[in-house]
Amino acid sequence: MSFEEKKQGPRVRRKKTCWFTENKIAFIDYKDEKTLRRFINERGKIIPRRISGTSAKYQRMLNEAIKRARQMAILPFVADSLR
Amino acid sequence: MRQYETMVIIDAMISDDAIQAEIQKINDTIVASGEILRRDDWGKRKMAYQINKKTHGFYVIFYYKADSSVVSTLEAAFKLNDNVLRWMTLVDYPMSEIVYDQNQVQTSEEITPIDAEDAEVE
Repeated sequence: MSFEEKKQGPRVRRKKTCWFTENKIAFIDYKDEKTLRRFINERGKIIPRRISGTSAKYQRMLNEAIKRARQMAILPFVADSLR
Repeated sequence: MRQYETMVIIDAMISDDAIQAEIQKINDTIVASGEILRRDDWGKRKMAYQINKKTHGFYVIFYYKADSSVVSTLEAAFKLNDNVLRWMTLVDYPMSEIVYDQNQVQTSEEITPIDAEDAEVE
């Protein structure tokens, strides 16, 4: 029943917020693997802003950090866990 | 004099003494004409992908103040050294307060990407 209702009503979209702004993080470090892993999908790709809701400023910083981490083999370029 | 941060990955397959010797060598080069602010040893770690057919690396990070000539000497030495798999030097990079936790790697499996359910809505 609930499934049917969901289909009918207008789609309610939750407001996305920037994780870094919320947590008051001033700087994204490439060594911080735990944080960076939140922003890559299981393939190892960087999650786009339109999905993660990260603000432009932090997305730029995040991009740089993830790419540096990849160079140093902290994060994968391509995750091979799907093999 | 500027502040530098150099991360070095040393081949973890060589003996522990050899690894320490490599670290000491880097250490000496920096100390010769600069000062080390901090050194972080991450220890042996599985790398996200293979480098030169090696799966594990010993990570060391040096934070130091030195002249640019020190950096070029270091990098020239790294290039010739087969035990150094990879390195990266950053200038005036903020020193992180993150203290590396070896157990963190194991827990990384639980981290769910921030989007998960939202992804399908698009």
